[in-house]
Amino acid sequence: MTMNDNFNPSAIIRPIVTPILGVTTETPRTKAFTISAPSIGKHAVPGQFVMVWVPGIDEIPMSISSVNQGVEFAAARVGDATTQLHKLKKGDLLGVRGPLGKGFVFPKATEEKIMLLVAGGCGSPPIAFAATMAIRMGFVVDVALGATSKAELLFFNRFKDLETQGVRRFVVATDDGSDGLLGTSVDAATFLLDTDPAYSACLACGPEGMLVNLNTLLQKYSIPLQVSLERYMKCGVGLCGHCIIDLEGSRVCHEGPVFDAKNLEESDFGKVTRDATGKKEPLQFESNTS
Amino acid sequence: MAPKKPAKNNSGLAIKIGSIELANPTILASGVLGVAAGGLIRAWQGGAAAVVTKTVGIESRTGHPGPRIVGIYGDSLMNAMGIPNPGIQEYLPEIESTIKHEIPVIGSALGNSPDEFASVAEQLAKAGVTAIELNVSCPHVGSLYLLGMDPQSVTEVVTEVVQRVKGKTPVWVKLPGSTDYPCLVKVAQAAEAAGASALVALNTLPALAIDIESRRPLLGAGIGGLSGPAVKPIAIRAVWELHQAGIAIPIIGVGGILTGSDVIEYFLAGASAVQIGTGVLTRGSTIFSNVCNEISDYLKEHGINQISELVGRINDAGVSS
Ligand SMILES: Cc1cc2nc3c(=O)[nH]c(=O)nc-3n(C[C@H](O)[C@H](O)[C@H](O)COP(=O)(O)OP(=O)(O)OC[C@H]3O[C@@H](n4cnc5c(N)ncnc54)[C@H](O)[C@@H]3O)c2cc1C
Ligand SMILES: Cc1cc2nc3c(=O)[nH]c(=O)nc-3n(C[C@H](O)[C@H](O)[C@H](O)COP(=O)(O)O)c2cc1C
Ligand code: FES
Repeated sequence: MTMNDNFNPSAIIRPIVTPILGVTTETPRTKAFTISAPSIGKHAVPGQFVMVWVPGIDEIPMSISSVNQGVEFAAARVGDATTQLHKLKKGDLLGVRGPLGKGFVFPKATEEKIMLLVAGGCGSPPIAFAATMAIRMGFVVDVALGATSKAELLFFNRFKDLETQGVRRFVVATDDGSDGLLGTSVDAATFLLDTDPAYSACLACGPEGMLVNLNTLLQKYSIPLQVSLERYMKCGVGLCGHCIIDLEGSRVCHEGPVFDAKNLEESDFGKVTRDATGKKEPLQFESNTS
Repeated sequence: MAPKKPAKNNSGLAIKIGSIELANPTILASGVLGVAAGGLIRAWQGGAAAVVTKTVGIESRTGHPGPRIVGIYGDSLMNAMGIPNPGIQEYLPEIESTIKHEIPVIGSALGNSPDEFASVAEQLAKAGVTAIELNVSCPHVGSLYLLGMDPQSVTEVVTEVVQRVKGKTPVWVKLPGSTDYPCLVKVAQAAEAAGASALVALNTLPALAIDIESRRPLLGAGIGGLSGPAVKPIAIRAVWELHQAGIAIPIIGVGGILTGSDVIEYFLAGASAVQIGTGVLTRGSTIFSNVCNEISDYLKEHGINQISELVGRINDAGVSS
C-alpha cells in the first residue's frame, strides 16, 4: 500500500457510503458496480480489494477491477449479500472501505518484459486491473482466461479491447467448449507456454484448485507466480486473524490477498480454508498432478 | 514451522499473576489474531509474554453479519464480531499447535450455563492452557453481557469452573466494560470469593455508531463494543476502583494500550499485567516488544528496578469515586 500525504488510514476501517454511479451486467451471474471513492481509487493497486457494505445484509470482500471512472468491482451472485447487491441500481447507497491488503508486485523492467496473466471464473477483476496497469508500464502481456461457458467469460470484451493496446495474445478456454479451448484457464496458459515460455512473471486469480495447478505448471518453467487468494474475511484489516493461512500468521487480508506462490509451501494454500465460524474445511479440486 | 522468538534483554519486566510467571507484562487480548494458531504465534513473536485465545464455546458460532468492525476517532474502533468460533473441539488443534512452541496460552471460554462454561474450561485445561479466562462480558452477545453484570451468576459460573478444573488451572474473570462502580466491585468480589485467580478489566464498552447517509448503524449487529484509546481512561478507572476496593487477586488491565506509558499508567492504578488488542492494528504485531522497550526506558529513567514495584503506586489516590 502506498502511503502518502493524502492517504486516509481511517478509510480502511470506516466505509465511504455513497450512491452507485453505474451498474453493468457483465455475464449472466456477474454485475460490475462503479462508485465514487477518490480516496480509494487514487491509492489502489491491482490485487487490492474493498469491503463492500450491502446495507442491511453483510459486508463482503471484492477485488478492485478498475479505477478509471470511479472505483469498480464485479460481483458474481452466489449468496445473500451478492443477491441483494445485484438488486441495487444507479443512485442506491453502497458502503466501501479500502484499498485493503497488498496487491500484485510488478517486476522490475527486464529485457523480456513479457507477462502472463491468468484468470479463471470470478478471477478476472484483479487481472483486468493488472492488465491495464502492466500495459501502461510497458509490459507485453499475454492473457489466459477461463470460465464454465462462453457467456461466463468475465471481462472478455475488456481483454479483447486491450489487444489493440498491448495485449499480445489472448487465449480463452471453457469447461463446455462453447468458446476457445475445451478446458480451464490453466489449459489456456499451457497453450501459451507451449508456444513461447519466455515470461518474466505470471499473475493469477481464480479458484484455488486452478491456482494450485497453475503453480505446478509454472514451476516446470521456473516462472515466478503471484496468486490472489480468497479466504473468509471478518475484519479485512489484519486484526481478527480469521484469514490466517500459516503458522507465521500470514493474513490474506493484510499480507495478501496476493502472495508469491513460492512462499505458500507451508501454508493452507490448496489444502484447507476456514468457514464463517473459523472451522477448517478441506479444499477439494481436481489436481493436474497424479 | 514458525521461527524462534528473538532473544530479549529487557530486565525488570518480569511479572507474576498469582502463580504464573511471565517474562513481561504484555499479553495478547482475546479476539485479536487468535482464530488461528499462526496468529497466536505471531503475537508471541511480536513480544507478547502470553496469548489469550479467541473466546470459544461448546457449539460453533457464525458470529454477526458485517460490517463487523468500524473505525471511530483516531485509533479507536468498534467491533461486533459476535464471537465467531468453531467450537472447542475444532479449536483444540490451534491451541495445541501454539502450546507446542512453549507459548503460554490463556484459553478464553464462554457458555450458556455454569455447566457449559465448565465443560469448555475442562477441555482447555486438559489441552494444557496456562490459565482460563471466562468471558462473561461480551457487549454484543447479550446473554454473556448480562451474566457479567450479575454477581450471583458470576458466583455460580466461577464456582462451577474452579471446582471442575480442580483448582489446578487458574481461572481469570473478564469484566464487562460499562459497569458502574458498585456493580463492578460487587461482580469482582463475587468472582474473587468464588475462587477466581485474577480479574481482567475491561471488555469492550457497548456503543453505537450511525451512518448519516443510510441512517443505519455502522455495524451489522447494531450495537458493538468500543475499544482502543477512547476506552483507556475508563478501564484505568475501573482498575483503580477494584484496587481501592481491596480486591486482593491480581488485576490485568486492558483497553487502549498503545505505548509503554499506557502500561505504566495501568500499573500505577493497580494492574499487575496488561492485555493489548486494538493496538495490534495501530502498531502491528510487534507492538508488544515495542511497548516493552518503552517500559524499560521509563524504568531506567526513573531508577526503578522492577515494573512490579509500581503496582497501585498512584500518588494522591484519595480521588473520590
Ligand atoms: C480478497 C477477496 C476478493 C474477492 N473478490 C471477488 C470479486 O472480485 N468478485 C466476486 O464475485 N467475488 C469475490 N470474492 C468472493 C466474495 O467475497 C464472495 O463471493 C461473497 O462474500 C459472497 O457473499 P454472499 O453473502 O453473497 O454469499 P454467502 O451466501 O454468504 O456465501 C457464499 C460463499 O461466499 C463466501 N463468503 C461469504 N462471505 C464471505 C466473506 N466475508 N469473506 C470471504 N468470503 C465470503 C464463502 O466462501 C461462502 O461459502 C472475493 C473474496 C475475497 C476474499
Ligand atoms: C476485533 C475484536 C474482537 C474481540 N473479541 C473478543 C473475544 O472474543 N473475547 C473477549 O473476551 N474479548 C474480545 N475483544 C475485546 C478485547 O479482548 C479487549 O478487551 C478490548 O478490545 C479492549 O482492549 P484494546 O483497547 O486493547 O483492544 C475483542 C476486541 C476486538 C477489537
Ligand atoms: S479478516 Fe480479520 S485478519 Fe483478515
